[in-house]
Amino acid sequence: MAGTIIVDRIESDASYASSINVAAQVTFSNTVNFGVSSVAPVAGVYSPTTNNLAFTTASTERMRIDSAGNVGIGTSSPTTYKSAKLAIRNSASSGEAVLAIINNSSNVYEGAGILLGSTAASTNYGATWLYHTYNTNSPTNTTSYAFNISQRATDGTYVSNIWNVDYQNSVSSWYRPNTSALQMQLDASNNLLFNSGYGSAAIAYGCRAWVKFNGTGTVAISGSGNVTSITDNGTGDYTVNFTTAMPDVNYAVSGFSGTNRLVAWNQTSLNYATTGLRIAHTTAGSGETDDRAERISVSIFR
Amino acid sequence: MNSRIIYPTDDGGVAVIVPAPECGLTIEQIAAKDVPAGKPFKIVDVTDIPSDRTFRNAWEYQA
Repeated sequence: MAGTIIVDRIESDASYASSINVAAQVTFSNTVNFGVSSVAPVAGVYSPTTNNLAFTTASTERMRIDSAGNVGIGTSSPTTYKSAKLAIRNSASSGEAVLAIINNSSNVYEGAGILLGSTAASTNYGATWLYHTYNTNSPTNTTSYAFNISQRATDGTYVSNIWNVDYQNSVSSWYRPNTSALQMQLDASNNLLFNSGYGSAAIAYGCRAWVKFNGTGTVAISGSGNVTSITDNGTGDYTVNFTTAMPDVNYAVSGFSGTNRLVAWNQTSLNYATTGLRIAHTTAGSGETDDRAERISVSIFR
Repeated sequence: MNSRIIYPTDDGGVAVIVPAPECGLTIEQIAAKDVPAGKPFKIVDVTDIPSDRTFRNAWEYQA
């Protein structure tokens, strides 16, 4: 039948296999009001509560837009999860992914799989991008978070992972895969600890400056770190000048030159400064400075 | 670097600053940083510095 039908109400009696067939399309010229219904359609859209819109398939709600515009997929309460504007929840226990993002570019170096950005003014709490809830049985838990990056082998075992735990106590820890063995940690005092075969994680004390130079003939530096220069003050008398000054003069020094010779403090000048260290190259026994060292190495630890 | 910085020491000798090639600073920047404040200095070629250090403590600075 061609033309326009204006009706006040269309109702189907459930006892009949009735339907309305439209060959082209149905156009709504004004607001579509689904009313409030506690009965979910088999597959469709309804309003389960006032100002809420839900989408169903197989008579089950799949997606909800609540009265504030928050969207939940797999959950009817998206704001449960840290007031998320979009929450996706997969309650299945068979290991399906919650969200798949596929970059189908033919060039694997183009585009981003996931791009995270923020215009938030705060760079503190709100700018933390990825959370993995520590307690998987309580995804709304806000007291403890862990960030997990992991790779699983085909047999399901973890082949690598990094756990950053106890975030809210300002401690970041990395554990060896599949174990509780602490490998590295940034503790609450900003100390970096690591276990590089030591048997346990310990604070790493770095070499703050080092230099290797020859002290005979044409004096020259062959290698250095955090050193701008050495000053040749005289026979066996050198100052190591630091690029970045030490925080104080309580640093330790290690020196090496050659057989029967020593790298020692220059006791006469006592130039033990934050900006540099004056050393003497001496002959063992006599204590006299000498210029016969082809290789002098000095390391500073703090 | 093939340059050196020289300046007079307080005891009448001469100090020679040997730049670290990996430090990332220019010879002028090293001079500004490592020459003691108020000391005159000169930037010279490394070949201007004697390689015979037998009488190293007798070297003198000539302005």
